[in-house]
Amino acid sequence: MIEYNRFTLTNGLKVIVHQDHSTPIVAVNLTYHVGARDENPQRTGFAHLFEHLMFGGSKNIPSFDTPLQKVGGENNAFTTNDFTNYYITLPKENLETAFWLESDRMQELAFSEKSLEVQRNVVIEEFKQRYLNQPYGDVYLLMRPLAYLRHPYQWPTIGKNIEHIEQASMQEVKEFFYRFYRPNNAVLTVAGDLKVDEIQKLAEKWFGHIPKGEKIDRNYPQEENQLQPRSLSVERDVPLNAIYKAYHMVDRLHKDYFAFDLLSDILSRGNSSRFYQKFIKEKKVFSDVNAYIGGDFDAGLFTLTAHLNPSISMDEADQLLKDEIQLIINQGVTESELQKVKNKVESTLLFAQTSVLNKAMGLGIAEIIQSADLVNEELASYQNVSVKDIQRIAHEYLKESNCSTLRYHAKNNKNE
Amino acid sequence: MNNTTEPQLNSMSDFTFLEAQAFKLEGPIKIFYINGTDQEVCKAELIFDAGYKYQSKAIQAAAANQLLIEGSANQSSAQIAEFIDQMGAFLDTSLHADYASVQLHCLNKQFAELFEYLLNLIEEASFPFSEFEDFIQLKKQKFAVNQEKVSFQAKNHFLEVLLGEKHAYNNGIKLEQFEVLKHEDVIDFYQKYYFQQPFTILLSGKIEDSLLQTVEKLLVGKSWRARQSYAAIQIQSMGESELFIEKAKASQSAIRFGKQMPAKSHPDFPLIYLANLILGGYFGSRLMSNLREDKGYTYGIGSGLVNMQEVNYWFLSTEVGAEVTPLAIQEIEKELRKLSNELISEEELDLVKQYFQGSILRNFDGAFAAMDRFKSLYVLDLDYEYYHQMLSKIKNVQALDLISIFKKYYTFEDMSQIVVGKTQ
Repeated sequence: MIEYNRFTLTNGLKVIVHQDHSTPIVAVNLTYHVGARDENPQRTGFAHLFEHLMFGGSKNIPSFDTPLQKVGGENNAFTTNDFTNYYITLPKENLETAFWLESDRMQELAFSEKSLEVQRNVVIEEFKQRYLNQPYGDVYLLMRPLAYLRHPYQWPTIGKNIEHIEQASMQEVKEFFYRFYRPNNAVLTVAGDLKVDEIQKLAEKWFGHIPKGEKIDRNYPQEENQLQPRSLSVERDVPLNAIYKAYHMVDRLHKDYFAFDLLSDILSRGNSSRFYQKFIKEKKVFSDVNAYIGGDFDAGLFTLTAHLNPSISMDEADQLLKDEIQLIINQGVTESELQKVKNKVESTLLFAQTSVLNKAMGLGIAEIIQSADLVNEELASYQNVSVKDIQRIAHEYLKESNCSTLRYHAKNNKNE
Repeated sequence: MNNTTEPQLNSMSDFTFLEAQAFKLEGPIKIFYINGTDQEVCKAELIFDAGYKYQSKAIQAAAANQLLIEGSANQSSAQIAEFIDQMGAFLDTSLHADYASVQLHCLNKQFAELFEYLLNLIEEASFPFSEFEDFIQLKKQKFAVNQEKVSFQAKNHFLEVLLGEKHAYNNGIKLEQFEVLKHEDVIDFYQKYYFQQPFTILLSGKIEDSLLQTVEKLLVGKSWRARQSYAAIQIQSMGESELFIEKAKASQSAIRFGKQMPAKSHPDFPLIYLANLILGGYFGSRLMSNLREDKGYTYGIGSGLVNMQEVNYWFLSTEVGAEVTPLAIQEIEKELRKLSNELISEEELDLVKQYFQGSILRNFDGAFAAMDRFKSLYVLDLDYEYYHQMLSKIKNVQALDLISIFKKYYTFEDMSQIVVGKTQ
């Protein structure tokens, strides 16, 4: 149980406070409700590029990092398809510095041309480092538009292509900022050895005066139900064939979300999982095999991935994965294997609660999704999943007509 | 509200390190613990003198370490995995040059049963042949995938370039070495370095007396052999100074620099450490500010110090746009020259000193992090005095002291260099 207090400033900024007296470090986490799904389809990658610009100086502070390092603090940020999260850890004595820094860049960025130019280059290098210059690095650039025909989840946070980032203009940067980086579109979470009224005073002092923005309507084009299997084959310079199968699943607030998560664990978490035992140890057909869900707010994907050993063909691999899913649909899972993955979730959640930063992030992101309470309901949500639920969702969602398959061929592979 | 005024800078309160305590036991097993969380969770780490420097063939120590928990006299690898997962626990292994480790993470209520189980696994490890074959097969495939990454290649050749190919600390791997390692080599390594060999137990999390007594009870009456003897390596040769590997289609080049350095116990070490921070050790470092934040050549560049029992070195690593590879190297050289010729400002010096203090505080935050710090001291035979010395020496460093440190230890000409990608 993570206890917390929550209040809202008149400009709409939500503030969450969690007390943990066991540590000299405080965590300050600021979550903005904006991600890649909020982007213009002609300017994809913008939310992430923007995250970089948030470190390029604000109205009164030329460099974000310098004053923070001066008080012994550290920070970073990440962008998802749904939100952008900024976090700071610093010694509690200098907590106010974090408020000053975050409030200044929420009030007004410096909008420097130099910073825009440099960060465009940095992000292009990031694009190369993570997506282009890695074996299998472009999988999500291929998979997303295959699985999503309408919804903005059809591009990854880095964007559809490098050109979109190259073309980003200062005018667009400003518009994006004043639309999304407003107090009523953000949650501030502070965790550590502190007092609630002290945080209340600091929040008023540093954020109270920032004007609220216009209400944001989120009307994304929604996916229509997929009724036919989709597939794509590519050939790349990689050592092993690989296959990816993605099924549409439910959104983050749907109660079946937890059943999907546990099913992915039953299939591939840990060395006792079905996939590991059957495919890696017994049949020795894959060198790597996985099942996972994303944490997307809107309906996301349930994805299977495998790297194929040279002894097996792409068709055989596809069939093996389908058979394994069919087995769940026909026979369900056992009570004991469900209990096993629940036990694992329980200890993972407890270990995560040993860090103030994890706790602050969890609360802030949950509040953006719906309510910080989700953090404390999570364990029960997992525990309530039954073997029947698992079989039902498999039956309902994991059918080939709801699946996009990417066949990633290794050049010069003699087995196809 | 006036945002132009920076909040007052408050000095951090004095450090009281969350220190590990010794739990004395009869016999050669050493136990240290840190009790420091409200959650009912704990971690037990077993440290063996079984690092890769002890091996006679490449991959031998890694195979022994990983397969240690993949089969015992009466448990198959599938049964082990099932048992650990059913308990909601995590069992992992890791290998370093000087030591090998096995880590158990679990809920306190299951600790006794799991710990006993783990001790049995280690005592009765059986190294099934099929597990050995699977291990080699999977490693080979992973290696083939990794070989496609410029950063992996640079790292894989790094210690060979820095120390020489035959050096015991060189952990670089070549594809053909997977064929050379035999099943009996792994069993032989286990017999020498694990079987009835005394180890050290590090316990962190919620560690109450009852848990310590459980450990004691489980260890009573076990028999131990004398520690395997080990002759310190004689470092005869230095490595090459340069290695270039062309990868024509790479959109980025991986660059890695390195140089041997004095040990943590050397009087210059605190300054060497601070110098590294300034150069490439944090986000605001000279290299990050120049190559990323000014020129946009890279997504990231960083440098660090690695301290092992018999080898100590400094390294720098980055991936840069292929077309700017030579320019990036020029800028790295420029930054190094600047630091050995121009005094750094008081402002920058104060900033890194403060940043250093904050990083120590963060590194000791919580029982698990604090135990990792203790481990890093323990394996080098150091104690907390090291941190006290670092803190007091770094507080008093002057800009002038740093010039001589850069001149003495960070000269561009003395560094080994690896570039993988576009080398022309």
